[in-house]
This record gives sequence, C-alpha cells and structure tokens, in this order.
Amino acid sequence: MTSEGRIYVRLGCFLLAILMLSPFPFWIDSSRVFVQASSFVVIGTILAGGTIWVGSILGLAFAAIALLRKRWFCRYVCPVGLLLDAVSGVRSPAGTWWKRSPPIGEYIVLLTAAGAILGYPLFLWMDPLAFLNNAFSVYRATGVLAVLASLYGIVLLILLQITSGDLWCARICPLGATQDLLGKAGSFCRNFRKSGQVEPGGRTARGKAVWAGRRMFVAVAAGLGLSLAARKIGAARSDHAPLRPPGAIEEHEFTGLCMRCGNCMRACPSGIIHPDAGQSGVLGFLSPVVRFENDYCRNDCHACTTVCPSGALQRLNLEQKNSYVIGTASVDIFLCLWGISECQACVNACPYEAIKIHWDEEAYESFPAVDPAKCNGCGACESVCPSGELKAVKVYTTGSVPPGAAG
Amino acid sequence: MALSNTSDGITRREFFKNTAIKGTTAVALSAGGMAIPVSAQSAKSAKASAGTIREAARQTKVCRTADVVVVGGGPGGIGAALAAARSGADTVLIERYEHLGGMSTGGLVTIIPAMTDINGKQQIAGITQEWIKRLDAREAADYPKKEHWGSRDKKLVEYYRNRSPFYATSNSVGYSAHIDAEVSKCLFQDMMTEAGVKTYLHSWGTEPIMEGNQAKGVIFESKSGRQAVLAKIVIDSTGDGDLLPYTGARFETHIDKALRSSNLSFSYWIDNVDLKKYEQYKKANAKALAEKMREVRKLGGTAGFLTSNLKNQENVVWCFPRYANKSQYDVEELTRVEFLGRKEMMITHDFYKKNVPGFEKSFIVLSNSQLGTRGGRRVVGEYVVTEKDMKNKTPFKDTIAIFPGMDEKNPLMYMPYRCLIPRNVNNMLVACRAFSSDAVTNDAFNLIHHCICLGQAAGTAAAQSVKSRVDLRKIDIGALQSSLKKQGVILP
Repeated sequence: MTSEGRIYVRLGCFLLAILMLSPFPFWIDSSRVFVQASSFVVIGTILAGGTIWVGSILGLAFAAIALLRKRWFCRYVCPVGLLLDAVSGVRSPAGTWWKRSPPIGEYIVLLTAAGAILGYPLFLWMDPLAFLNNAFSVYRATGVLAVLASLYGIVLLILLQITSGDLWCARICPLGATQDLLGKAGSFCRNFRKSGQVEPGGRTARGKAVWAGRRMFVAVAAGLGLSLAARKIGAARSDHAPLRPPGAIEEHEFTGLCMRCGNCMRACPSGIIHPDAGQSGVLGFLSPVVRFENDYCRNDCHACTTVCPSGALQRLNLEQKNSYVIGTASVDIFLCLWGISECQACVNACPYEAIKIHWDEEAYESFPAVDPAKCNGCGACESVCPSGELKAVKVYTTGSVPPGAAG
Repeated sequence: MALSNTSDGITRREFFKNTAIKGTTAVALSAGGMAIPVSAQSAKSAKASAGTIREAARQTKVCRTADVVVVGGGPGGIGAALAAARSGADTVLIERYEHLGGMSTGGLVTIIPAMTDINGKQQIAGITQEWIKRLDAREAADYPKKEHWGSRDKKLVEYYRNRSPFYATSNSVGYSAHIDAEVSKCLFQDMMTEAGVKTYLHSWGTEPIMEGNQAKGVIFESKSGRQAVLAKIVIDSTGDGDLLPYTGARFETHIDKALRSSNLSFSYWIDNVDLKKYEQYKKANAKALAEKMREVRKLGGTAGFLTSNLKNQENVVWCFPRYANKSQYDVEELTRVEFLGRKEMMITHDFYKKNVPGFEKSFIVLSNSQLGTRGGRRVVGEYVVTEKDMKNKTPFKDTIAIFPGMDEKNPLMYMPYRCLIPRNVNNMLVACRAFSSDAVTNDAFNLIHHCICLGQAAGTAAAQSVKSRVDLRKIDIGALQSSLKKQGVILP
C-alpha cells in the first residue's frame, strides 16, 4: 500500500479509537475491547490468568499478523503512534542519542511475560493503549490526583517524543516490542523451515544470537524473581490492603494484573473508585481503590466488573457482585450520633439489613452494630454517616477491623 | 405481635402497684376493688410495696362541662385541642406542667425532624407548619431553605449536615427544624387563647370518668384539689396513655430495648461556648477530639452535642443523653434517671470545660423540666398499625395523615383514623404517641410532628362527632378528610 494509503488507514483507526473511547461510546464494551487490541496486554493476561474473552481475539489476531509482517500494528493501526508522529510533525524530531541503546521494550516484554506465568505481569501497565484509554477517563476525574493519574501516561509519551523523538516507539514500547519478538520468532521459524538450520550464518551473527539468547534468559529469570518478590510483598500487605472494587482478585496478584487503564473508575456511576496514592504501597500506585465518602456501591450495578480488560476485576453478574465482599463495616460507638441525635442513618441506608441497633444488656445501652455475615462492604452506611470528618461507621478490609471500632 | 402481660385485665390498683412491684407475682384484685394482701413477696420488695389500701368514697367537684376534653398539652394535645376548638367544639385542655408543648418545650426536644419525604416534598404541614410559621415571625426557627429540600448536591448536603444531622438525614437535604422552646411555649398559649380553648395548667389529668365503656369526662388534680371536667368526648394526649388503665381498653407496653423509643433522655443546654474555637480545634485535631469523646464516655458522660443554630444563640449547644430503663412510666425509674441525668450532666460539662477547647467559659444554662420520654403504653385500637403498613403503597380509605417514611423503599407512611380509636371504649380517642401501633412502627412515627398530626385529626373528628351527634366510629370520613385539608393538612 502506498504511504498515502497508509495514512488514511491510520487516520481511520485513530478516529475509530476516539469513537470507542468517547464519553458516549457506541458500544458498551468498546473501552475494554480497545485495550484488548494490544497483543502485549492479551498475551500478558492470558499467561497470567489463562482467561480468553471474545475481545482477546482482536489482540491475538494482531499478534498473528506480527508473526508475518514486521510491526504491522504500529504502521497501520496504533493510534498512539499516530498521535506521537503528529507531535513530531509539529515539532521537528529531536535527539537520536538512543539509537545505539538496547531494545529495552523486549526486556520489558520478557520480564512481564515471565512474571505473568507466576500471575504477576510486571509491566502490563506500560501498555500504550492503556495509557491512551486512561487519558479518556479524565472527564470523570475528581481531584488533582485523579486528573494526573489519568493523563500521566500519555503526557509522558508526548514529552518523551518532544525531547527524544521516536525513543518510545522504537526502543521502549512493550506493544511494539511484542511485535518485534513475535516477528523474530516468525522469521526464525520460516528460516528454520527453509534451511533446516538452527543458526543463521557466520560466527559474529551466531555470537550475537547466543548473546541475545543469554540476555533473554536473564530477563526471564529476573522476571520470575521480581514477580515472586512482588507477590510476596503483596501477600504480606493483604491484611491491610485498601478496599478494592468488587470482583478484584487477590491483592498480591491484583497490583500486577491491573494495568491502570482507568476503565473501572470511568464505569462507576457512583464515582467511588479512585486511583490510589500510597494506601497500597509502591506496587499498588495508581491502582483503583474504593472510597465511600460521597457515595456507595449500588446494589443494582456491576459496571466495573464488566469493563476490566485484564481480569484484575473478574467479570461478575449482579448477584455475584452483591455477594462479593468488598470489606466489612464497623461502627465506632464513640463517634456515633445515635447517642446524641437518635441518628439511624446507617441502619436505614443498609440495603442488606446488616446494621441494626443492638442492645447490650451488660452495658445497659444500645448501639448500632454490624452483622459481618450480612455485610458486603457496599459502603451505603459510611456514605450517609453524618458524624463529620471522622465517620462513625466505616468499611474496613475484611480481617483488619480495628479493635477500637469493634461495635 | 404479642400483647404484654400488663395489658390484659389490668385494673387501676394494679396499675398503681405495677410501678412498685417488680419481679413479684402479679396481684389479683377483685372487680369491686377489694384489696387482697400481696402474696409471695420477698422481704425486700415488701418494704417497697406494703399491699394496698382502700380509699374512702368521696364527692368530687365538677368544675366545668365541655364538648371535648383533652388531657395533656404536649404536641398531641395541642393538635387535638386547637383542631377541636377551631372546628366549633367547646374544648378544655388539661396540662400537668406550667407550660404547653410537652416534649417539644419542657422536654427540650427542640427539633422537628423530617417533614419532607426523600424527594424533598413536604408531607407534614397543618398545625406543625403554622407553628413554624409563627416561630419564623420571631426568627425562632432554623431549617434548610425551601429551595434546597430534596437536593442531593454534595456540598449542600455537607453544609446542612454540619449544621445539624437532622437537616440531611440520608444523602439529601430535608425539611427539619430547630426551634426555640421558650418562644414555642408563648406561641402555644397564644394559639389556645385565640382558638378559645379553656386551658388548665398545673393540672394533672389522672383518671377518666367512665360509665360502663362510655367515657364521660376526666378527673384532674391540682393545687385546687381534685376536680372533674365532664365532656362528650375525652381525648387522651398524655403521651403514655395514662388514662388507658382505667378504661376497658387494652394496651401494649413491650418495646424492644434496641429501639430508639425504649430510651429516656435527660436534655440540657450549655451556653457561652466558643463554637468557632471548637470548630477550629475539631478540624485540626479530629482524632484527638475523638479520643477525648472516648474518655468522657468512659467517665459516664455524653459525647457530642448539637448546635442550637437559632438566631443569637451562636454559643449554645444542646445535649441529649439517652438512658435505658425498665419503664418510662415507672416513677422509680423516672426518679433514678432524673438523678443520674443530672449527675452525668455535671460530669460531662466538667470534662468539656476542662478538656475541650471552646468550652472554657461555658455554663449549663438549662435542663429539661420534663424528663424526655419516647415510648410508653400503646393502645390497641380499631386498627393496629404495624411494620407491614410501612410498606403499604396505597393509602387507607380513612387516611388522616401522611408521614415521610423511613427509607427509599418505603417513602410514605399512611395513617388511618382507626388507629386513634381504642377498642371497647366509646367517646374516647388516643391522640399522642400511644396511638394503636406495634413497637417498631411506633418507634418510627411517634415524634413531635407526628403527634401534632394525629392530634389535629382527633380534635377535628371529635368536634365533628359532637356536632353531628354521630359516634366516633361512624363519622363521615370524607367530611373529616376535607375538613383536615381545609386546615392545611396534606392528604392523598
């Protein structure tokens, strides 16, 4: 195809991407499928979770093309690529100091793939389509942090493009590198079939190949090691983990499989899912956490569980979502207004009748108390609690209810 | 819905004794009032209750005859007396304290909550609205602006919630008012005078005059001695249904300890509080303050208060400690809680003064002249309103009031006229929190504005019955409803 023809294809793909990510999508699943178009994401998630959705087919198809045609996705489809090219077009290409640097992206892919086998795809969050997708969450962002959290990826890429030209696309982008690795594998197989030889040509070339093989081996080993470490750190924190959206997998895998694409935050009609800064440690940076200061997880909604492209949030139907335990509420009777204004806001708000006024014969007093067996941590109680800045009723990660709050 | 033991076959002597005897065998009394020595009593309780005596028969002066006599000048009685008098009945109101208003004034329950439903539509109006309008004229009420009722705007909700948790009980702003108790006392007496209600203060209506199952009037005690008012209709607005034990009416008394209404309260006001200083401290040291509240509660004090919000009362806060109890019409319990309340009031104030910034120069300016009561006897009426009715989406044919419901699923509660009519008694209505209901429903709908609504309906019905000479059970419901509507009551 002529280069002029190619530009029309690219523009078409770009427009399609915008349509898919717009606040008014023409298709309910579009933002999930958009991210799943990334072969990097799809391969990473399949290795990590072993789940294949209809949407994954797109990513797998592009992976198959990459076996035959070098970086076909980059050249024809990638909307991020077009965006970055446009940035370069406006501002003439900058430094090329990186031309002799190693293919960082390939190591990223290998590390991620190796980690994925242990359930912790280390750098899945570096996917460019996830970056772009995340940027479109900005219209739902509340607060400076949320705005930064949605835009950081795409802004970094643009800055990189301005300062260092094609560095991202050529050397770092894990989606590009996935295609490179697939392309190499493809040509290796083709050559192998043609010549029947494992090694192609001369000493130097062979040395290079061996060298590359070693580096790959080291990368894979490092990936396995790092992901084991990350899982361990995550497991150690799991009791103090922040509240995750419904459907979240185990904390020690969640921070790895979640690619910070922003889909869950965007999908939540209550606006209770926020990017995390600190609660879940370095590994959980910008991962979604649930906060109930303004609203709660409605019992007629399971939107967030249906939009996750990686499966960090498992797909749940409404019934499954309502029985998924986000956390457990607990009342601090010392902050509770029941005593001073007969407030029963939490009792009336609970959709599951999990909070009731409880009579304590010993104390000769009554106070609201939570039945943990009925509570799924939806936060209805916390969101209506009028006790002021410190809420008398709060949802805690199950198993970490503070002793002072046991009411 | 189980009837409690006390409700069956209770007699007047037993009622008197009930308060004294606890945990002993109930005493059987003959229908003629012959006293039978108390059996199987421990030495200790024998000291508390030394059997019974027989009072001498006596002549009692009839100080007045009327169409309608209302016993109790609290919210229920105010509604009943005003509505009856305004509907043309010659009305007498008997109040035991030196003021009108009951809980809303003497009890310092100076909050009228939830007059709007969850959508912000006003459901309670009538005399309650008239009262607030008169308070407004004196700048003696505070409530969210009308245009904000029903708003779910987070900033507004937060603003009003900080002012008072009653202004935004769920996630929306509602019509709830903080009111001035002293001004209200004056307004109520003005309203009585204007309506031509003959009011007796300092008069404790103790006993209905019964002829078989016909109520004929009421006996009351005062400095002037024991007197009687004869009337065609007797309305029990005593709150606890104090007249019921002397009639053939059945009533229930059990209230689950977990319910709000099972608690007494001892309310008081602290003045000269630097609330700005307090707010600043609270903002900067929320956790430290919470720790202090933990401490004061361990000492036996009360954590937290509401701000008055009324004009020129920027330094006044309201405290509403709760007290669990065995019974809210047991004089021993009432005395115990009164003593305990005062003691803990001092503990609380001492602690605040010493430990909480803003309270350094504060002082206790007022404590309730009537102990806060929330639940007592509940009459068994022609219709018993139950939890099931809270879910009822269609109004009763004899709906006389609509109350905003408890949650989004049950936004409206319809009240039938029949829940004011005691079974087995004629010429009597119960217009107060003793209306015919189960404990849970009573807990939800026995507040000040609810009682005014019930009173207004009862008073109107009584006047209609007198005027048309038709039994209370057979009055024209359509006429009652249209009369209520004319009075500004919101009906379906």
